[in-house]
Order: sequence, then C-alpha cells, then structure tokens
Amino acid sequence: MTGRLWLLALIVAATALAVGYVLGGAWPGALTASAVAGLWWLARRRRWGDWTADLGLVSLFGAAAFGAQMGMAGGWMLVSALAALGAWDLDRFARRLEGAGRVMDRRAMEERHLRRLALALGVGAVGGGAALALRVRLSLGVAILLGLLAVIGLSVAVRLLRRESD
Amino acid sequence: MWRRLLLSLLACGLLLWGLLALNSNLLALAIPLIAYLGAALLNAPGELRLSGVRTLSADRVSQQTPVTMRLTVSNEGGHLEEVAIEDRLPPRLESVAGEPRALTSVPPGDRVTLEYTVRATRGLFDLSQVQVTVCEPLGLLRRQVTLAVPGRLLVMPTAPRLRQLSVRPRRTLAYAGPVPARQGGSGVDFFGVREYQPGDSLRWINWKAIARHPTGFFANEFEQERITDVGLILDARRRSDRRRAEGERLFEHAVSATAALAQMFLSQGNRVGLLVYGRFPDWTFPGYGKVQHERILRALAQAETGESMVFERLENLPTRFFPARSQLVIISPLCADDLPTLVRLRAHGYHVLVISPDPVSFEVGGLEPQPEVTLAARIARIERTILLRRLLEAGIQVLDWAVERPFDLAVHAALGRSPQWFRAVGVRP
Repeated sequence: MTGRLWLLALIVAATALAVGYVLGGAWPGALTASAVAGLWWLARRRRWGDWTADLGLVSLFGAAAFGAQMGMAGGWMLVSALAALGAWDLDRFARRLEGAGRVMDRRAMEERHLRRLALALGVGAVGGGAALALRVRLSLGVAILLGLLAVIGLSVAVRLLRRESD
Repeated sequence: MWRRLLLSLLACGLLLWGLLALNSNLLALAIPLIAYLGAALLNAPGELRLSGVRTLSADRVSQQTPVTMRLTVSNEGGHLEEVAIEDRLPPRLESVAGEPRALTSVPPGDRVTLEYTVRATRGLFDLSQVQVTVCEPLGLLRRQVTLAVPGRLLVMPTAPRLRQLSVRPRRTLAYAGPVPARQGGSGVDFFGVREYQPGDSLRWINWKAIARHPTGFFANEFEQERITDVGLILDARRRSDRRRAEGERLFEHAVSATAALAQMFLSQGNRVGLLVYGRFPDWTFPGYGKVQHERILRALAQAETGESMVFERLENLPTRFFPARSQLVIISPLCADDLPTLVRLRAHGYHVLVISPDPVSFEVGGLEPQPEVTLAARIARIERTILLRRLLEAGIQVLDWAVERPFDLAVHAALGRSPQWFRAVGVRP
C-alpha cells in the first residue's frame, strides 16, 4: 500500500509542477519536473541510498519555489510541494519497513502512519491555501522583521526537536 | 537529525525568500513543511520505560545445534507508535530461523515477543545488548535506548570419539590405568624375568628359564599399567593459524582434536590439564573426570587465536605448569622456529607427542591449482617434512594430520594401541 501511494504522490507532484509550468508557458520546467520524478522513481527501484529521497524533495521544492518566483500558478506549485512532501515521507516510511526485518501488524501500522501524514499535509494545505488567498501589504522593514522572527522561531523549533529526539 | 535539519532549512529558506521577495506564493510553500515539523514535534516520544526478558531453549549446546531464543520487551510507559527492536547478536552467532529484529507498535502495559533460532560453531556468547529505537509516527524524531537483557550461550566444540592412544611417559601416577608404567608387576605386556616369590601365580612361572638354570626358580614379570599426567597444549598463536577464502580455519580443527584428546585421556582416568597458548597462556588446572572434561570444553569453547610479543614463539611456554617427566600433547600446525623448544622439552624428560594439523594441504585445498601454487606447496611441504623428521630424530612422537582425513582415523592409524589380547601374543598394529 505504501509503495503505491508513494508512486501516486510522486506522479501528482511531477504532474502538478509540469501543469503549472506549462500553463505559464515554460516547457523546460515541465520537462525538468518529469526528469526529477523519473530519477527518484529509478533510485527507489534500484534501491539506491536514502539520500535520493532527500535530493528528490529538495529538487521538487526548488522547482516549485522557482516557479512561484517566476509567476507560475501558486496553487499548482503548492499541490506539487504537498505531494513531494508526501512522497518523501512515504519513501522513508517504506525504507523503515523494509529495513526492520519483521513488521508486526503491518497494515494497522501503515494505516496509522497514513492518517498522521494526511493530517499534517491537510493542515499544510489549509495554511498554504490561506497564504495564497490572503493578501497583506507589508513594508520592507516589516518583512525583514517577520523574516528574522521566522528564522528565530524555526531555530528554536529545531533545537526543541533535537532535544526531544535525544 | 539530518532530515529535521533539511526540512528546517527548506522552510527557513522559503520563508526568507518569500519575505524578501514579498511573494506570498513562496510563503505558501513553506507552510506544509512547518506543519509537518509541528506534527512531528507534537507526537514526539516521551520518556521510555521498557524492560526485557530473555529465555533460551538451552544455554549449553554443542556446535551447530540450533537454539531458540525468546526475547520479550514490555512497555511500562505511554503508547509507542513505531518501535524497532533489534537484538544485537555477536558476529559468530548466525540466525537460522526467524528475525532478531522487528518493527511494531506497543500500547501501554503491552509486551512484544521476538522468537528466533540461532546457531554457532563454537564460543561463549554474551547476549545482553538489545537496541530499542522509538519513532514518532512521521519518523522524524527518535529516541534510542539499549536495554540490558542478559543471557549467555555456551557452544561447545564437538569432537570425534577416540579409542586408545599409545603414550609412554616416564612418570605415571599411583592408580591403575591404561599407560605402561615402565615398572614390573601385574599387567599384560611382558616386562622381564625375576626370582619366583611366594604369592606369584603359577601361570607366571617361566619353565624355560628354570630348565636353563635349574638352581633357581623364575617367574615372568609384566609391565604395570597406570594413569598418568597429561598436559594438552593448544597452539593459539595467530601466526600458526591458517584461513581459507571461504572462512574455514585450521584452528577450529585443532580445537576439535584437542577436545577429542581430552575426552579420551579423561575417560581412561588420567589427570589432564590444558594450556591454550596464544595471546596469553590460558591455563586449566589438571584434574580428573567429568567435571574436568566440562572445564576443558569450556576453555576450548572460548579459545581464540591471538598475537603477543611475548608468546609469539614457543620458547616462553610455561613448562612448570606440567609435572616433570609427564606426557605433553602439543596440538599445533608448527612453525619453523618451534623445533628448539620442542627438543628442549624432550631433553627435560617430558614425553612429547605433537599432533600437527597440516597447514600446507589445508591451504592448498582452498587455492586454484595453478603452477605457482603447486610449486609453492611443494617447497612448503619439503620444509615441513624436514621439520617433522627432525622432531622424530629428537625422540618426539609426531602425527602429521591432513585435516581432510577424520581425526579419529588418523590417530588410530598412526598412534593406536593394539587390543590387550593382541599385545599378549606379541602382535603390534
């Protein structure tokens, strides 16, 4: 089940990105997105290292960010980013299952994981959609201040994550 | 750690880029990442309260005997979503059925049981390290603990059963046994003729001697048979071991031979001690019977080859461990510089028997038959033959054992002792 959903998420990520680029008239972007997705699929099939999923996520997010900067449709870029994040998570989950030896009650574990993932992505989709829909005018100073706050907030979050994990 | 950093950097970069470029589309892309990180943080695993119990179907087995292990891990804390349990097996312990690791979820108060079967060639295995890794459902945050779940498995070396072995040390002990004592008395082998003494059996009277010397009255005397002190010395120096490409080691054959010899000498009632001479001299004090057999097998189970500057050569062999003029059995493939030490042992009055697993045929058996290999083997064999011949010339018994041949057959062919009724009529094997 995880493998099929991963493939679906990868296809959605690449397709959304390609559609966004095509609608913006940037065919090379669409081809790049397809190539990244194809490489990720190949890496998974050939069981290359864990780093391939990270590289795929960064590439798809980079392509989506570049598209957003270049004025492509924000909705398609957001859908692509959400699907890429889902594919990255499912890739890692599948690898954990494969490397675990014996998985007890595999189906229930997969269902619970998918529920949590769907919840996280759902919250992300709502938040991202809201960010696309809402328009707030910011001066450069306020933007820099917000940026600093965001960086500090994220660094605090990372420190907290690290402490929780240790 | 790397993945958390990756997501954080991505989110941070997108936020900064979006704010600096005043582009809400870029900000929108950062939000799923932040939501994902937040979800992971909310479900972070709490304090782990785990305990484990291990049971083994047997804790002392002979080699290659399967042992079923059951490892139970109990969760005395909160719900654990993704729990990876891995029983870290020592390298030489091989899992043959089932898996020593599993991924599962454990509700509070529940327990997980792993059952699997292992097998080993030889050794004492301490099984105490169970690694438990708990992840939150998204797998981003993890907590790892090493549970102490003690267990010990002793895998004894197996040994072929040997019959009698012909040894003749100069010194024997007081009790009756199978070793010729070089003293007249009651026994089987003819020892000499002496004056008849009251109490001698009439069957012992030597009528031919009386006929030749009518003034006297003579009786035959037989060689007494007693038990003796036997010192087994297993050569565990790394330099004398050989290893084939497929992992087979000459040392394992030597260990098996030592176990067989110990079993045979002890079953005859002898007092047997063992010295494993490798990284350090591992000494098993001499003793009798089944308890000593168990001690020796335990020492052999743990015997490993090792290197040491001091014990690199046999010249530091601590001979004082062994009673003077007793029987020494040295199980060693032999190195060229061992000859003087062995000759010296013989000169000190020990009766020395060298059981030498043949390293040349062992190594050649694992190599492709190429001209260079054949030539090298021939040279090595000549050197070995010269070494063994010098040992024989010094009065040392030698068994050159090609390990492809079963040890019991090799021993009986070269060192076997004929049955008593054969010896009584003067027949030798």
